[in-house]
Amino acid sequence: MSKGTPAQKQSDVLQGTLDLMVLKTLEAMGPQHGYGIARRIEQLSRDVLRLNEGTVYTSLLRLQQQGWIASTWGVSENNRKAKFYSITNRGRKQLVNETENWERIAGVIARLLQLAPGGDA
Amino acid sequence: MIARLSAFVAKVRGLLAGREADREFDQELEAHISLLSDRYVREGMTPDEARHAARRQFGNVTSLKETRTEMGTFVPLRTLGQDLRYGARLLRKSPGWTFVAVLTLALGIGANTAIFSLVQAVLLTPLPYPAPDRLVVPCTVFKRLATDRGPVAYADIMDWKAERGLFEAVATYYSRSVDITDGAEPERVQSLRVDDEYFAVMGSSPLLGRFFTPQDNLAGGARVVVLSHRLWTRRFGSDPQVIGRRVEIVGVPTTIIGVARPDAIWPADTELVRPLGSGGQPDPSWMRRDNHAFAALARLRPGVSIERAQAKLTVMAAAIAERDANRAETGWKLHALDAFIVGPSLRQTLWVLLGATLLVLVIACVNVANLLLARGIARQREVAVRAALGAGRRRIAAQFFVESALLSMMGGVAGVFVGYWGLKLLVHFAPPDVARIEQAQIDMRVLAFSVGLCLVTTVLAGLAPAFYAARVAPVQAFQGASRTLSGNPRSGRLRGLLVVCELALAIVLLTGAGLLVRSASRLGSVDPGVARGGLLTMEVSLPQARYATDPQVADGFDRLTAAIRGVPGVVDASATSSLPIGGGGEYLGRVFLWDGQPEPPASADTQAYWSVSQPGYFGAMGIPILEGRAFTSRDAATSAPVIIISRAMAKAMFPNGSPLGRRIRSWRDENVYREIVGVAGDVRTDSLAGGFSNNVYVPHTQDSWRTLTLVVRTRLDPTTVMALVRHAILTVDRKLAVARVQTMEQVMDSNMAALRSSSSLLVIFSLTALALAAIGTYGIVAYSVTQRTREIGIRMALGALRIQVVSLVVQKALRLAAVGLACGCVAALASTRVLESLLFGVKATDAGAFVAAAVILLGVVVAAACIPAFRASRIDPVTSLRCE
Repeated sequence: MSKGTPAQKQSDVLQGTLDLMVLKTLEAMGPQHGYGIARRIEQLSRDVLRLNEGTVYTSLLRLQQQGWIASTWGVSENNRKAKFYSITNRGRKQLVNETENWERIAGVIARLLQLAPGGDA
Repeated sequence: MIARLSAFVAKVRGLLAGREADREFDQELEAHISLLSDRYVREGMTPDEARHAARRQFGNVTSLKETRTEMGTFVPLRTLGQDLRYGARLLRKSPGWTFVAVLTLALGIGANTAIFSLVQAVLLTPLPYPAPDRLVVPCTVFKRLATDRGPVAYADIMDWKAERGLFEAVATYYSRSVDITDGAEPERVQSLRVDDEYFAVMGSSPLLGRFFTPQDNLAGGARVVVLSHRLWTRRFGSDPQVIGRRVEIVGVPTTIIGVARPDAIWPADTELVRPLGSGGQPDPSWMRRDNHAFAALARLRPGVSIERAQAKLTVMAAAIAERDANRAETGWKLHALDAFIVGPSLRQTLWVLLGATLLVLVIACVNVANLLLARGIARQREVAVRAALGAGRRRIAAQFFVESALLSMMGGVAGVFVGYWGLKLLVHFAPPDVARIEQAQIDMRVLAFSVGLCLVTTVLAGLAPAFYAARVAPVQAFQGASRTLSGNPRSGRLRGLLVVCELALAIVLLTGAGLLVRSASRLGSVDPGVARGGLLTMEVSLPQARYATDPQVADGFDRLTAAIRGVPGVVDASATSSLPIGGGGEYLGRVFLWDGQPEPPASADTQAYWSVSQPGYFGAMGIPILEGRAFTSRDAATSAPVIIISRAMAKAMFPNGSPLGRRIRSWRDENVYREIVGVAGDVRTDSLAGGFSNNVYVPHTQDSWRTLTLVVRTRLDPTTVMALVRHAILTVDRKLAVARVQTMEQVMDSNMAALRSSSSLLVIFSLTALALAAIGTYGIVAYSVTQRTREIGIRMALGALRIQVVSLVVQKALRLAAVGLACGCVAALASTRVLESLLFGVKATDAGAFVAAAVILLGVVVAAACIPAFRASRIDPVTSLRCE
């Protein structure tokens, strides 16, 4: 019922970003469980990005549904059963696309932000 | 696209994985949280603090699980399950309503599918020959006989063969039934004599051996035969070594030179094909332009249209008519082969039937829509409750959609059964001579179309309550619940209109059925001119090989009938060259002149059917001799030529005074003066529906034919003596094949078969339509009674009599019926004209049929309205007021 509210749309943007980060992490570090991915993002963002680690799983579910990552069961560092995720070939392709996309948008935004206010009047 | 697909697969998997997957996900999350808290413990927190911090850091587990569930399944699918269960429960709760709705759909779908499948097989499927659209049948148009399917003259065929720009090939042929006389069982089969272009016209190659060469076609050439695939399979066991073998045909050994492929020969019932022997110098009599003794089949050149060829032929025929006075009233007509096979009357019958079923389909749709609308409006309150409880418009629409779809699916499944069963019924009821009817099978496209139409109707009508819900605010619906709805004038008018349509359609079908039934009964009581019962007929042919001369042939038949007369139960036996009422034999048309009259064009001639008969024929057939005498054994080959004429012929040639003793001659053919010794009663020669024709009879001793039909008058049921009669024939000559065994009643029945079958089918359809109209009327009246319960209660409380209540309710139905009747009669007047060619002795505007249809319809409407009316009259005022 609450689908399509403005708040949701903002977090959609964030979700997209998170998906990209998860994909990139899996590509760079090989198979990881959810905890490992959360640690890696935490480490790289140097506490700039604070996130509920649960949202990593939302992202994992979504990526898995699209067929961009696959999962197998393994054993974690503290000897618990854990699910390990790895990037698929389709995921790699998607990552390339998304990276290009991101860079293009980031470039546009950067240029936009550099414009002096009222500079062309 | 792929991503969407894999999401779909994941969802399906999620749907299937169920609880196991849920538990694994829980474990995964637990593992994460415990790793986090281990880390916090390492950083110096107490286990309790660490656990709290880890949970905080992780976020809301429950909402995450919910997100997963939503992602993992189809939400609509879960509600679909609910809606299906709810819909099924509703349908079960009112089994009568459900039954009627499903039955209505099934009848509409089934009837339409069955009929269309039949039309598909008989009319629309191309013939099995190569490029069948280029095959044409050239015929002679005899203006005086009002036919454009007459046999053709050999000289005409020669002219067509010369038209190489129009025709790729033109074949001459004629068909005869012949006896295969060797082997255990003599058998009569259809055979063709064809010239050497025949197989080029058919466009086929032999399966075994070869077809005919021009040498084979030379007059007096070798006796050779090509077998049909069917005969080769049936009589020769598909023997590949059959080429070169000999088979005895009409007592003559004939060499098998080829076997045709299946469906390579037309007419399709042909079993043997032999050369015509027309090559070289043909018989001079063949070249006469008025010798119409042949049939032709031609293949148009690619790119030549039948219209173009016809135009050229019309010009050629006109030129011949100018040169030859005998040809003044003839022309040529090219029939496309498929149109030739399915003649105009059968074609029309099929279209009429198709029209009738389309009406039934429309009625079915209207009815279901009506039933659903009535129920939907009654459920407005339920919709209001749902809307008030927060159901969105789309959610409510989805629910009603599922319900209607469920209903139409049940109707569709039932419709498939009705269609399958109906097609069998149709094939059973169809007249026996419908080509390719046995190939009819359920046509999937039509089935899909009919089911689709019903589905759309059902869904649209079923969604109506959801649309109302969108328009009406819940509060309003509650306040108004029963009172305003009953008076909703728009929906009431709509439903009324639908019922009026049904009634009108039922009238159209009923009138059509009434007209056909009246025609059939008129035709059944027509005087055929011969006795109906106790007559057995069969065709026998005496072969040249054993019966060489005319006296031998005549004697052969005399011995046969003498042997048959000795069979117990047989009263009399005789023979004729043609049976009345199209029963079989050779219908030979000849033209006659009075004694001393000059030949045309100086004076006119009189046309009559010529038939040959044995003494005793008139007695055996029950044809009265009105004047003079019948033939006797004294009318021999050597005695004076005699002739018996029919009353119609007598009136035509001798309107004043007795014809007895006068002499006439068949001037173009026999040219012998014959003395008229008797006048026989009229018989219907072609069909029961046809008028009395001119007939002449001559004794078989004076004109001996090899093929005659034996007529056997029996004391008992003719079929019981059949085996004995056959045995008697075989004691005379054990190599004779007995063919076309039928009773005179069967002849008459098959003559009426087309009318009987279309009338019984139209009766079935109109009864179906009537039932549907009754259901529709009942539905609308019952609904209005339910809506007006309170009003009726008040009326009764104020002292209204029961009979007043009943008439109040019935009046409403009668008002609808009156409008329906008026519309229906106008529509029927316009549409029964289509039936005109099928009618016999009844006009398309026959008042009786219209009145009968109206009376039946009114009766049914009143009956349908009375059930709810009496229920209304028993309403208890107190309860009815309280129930609101």
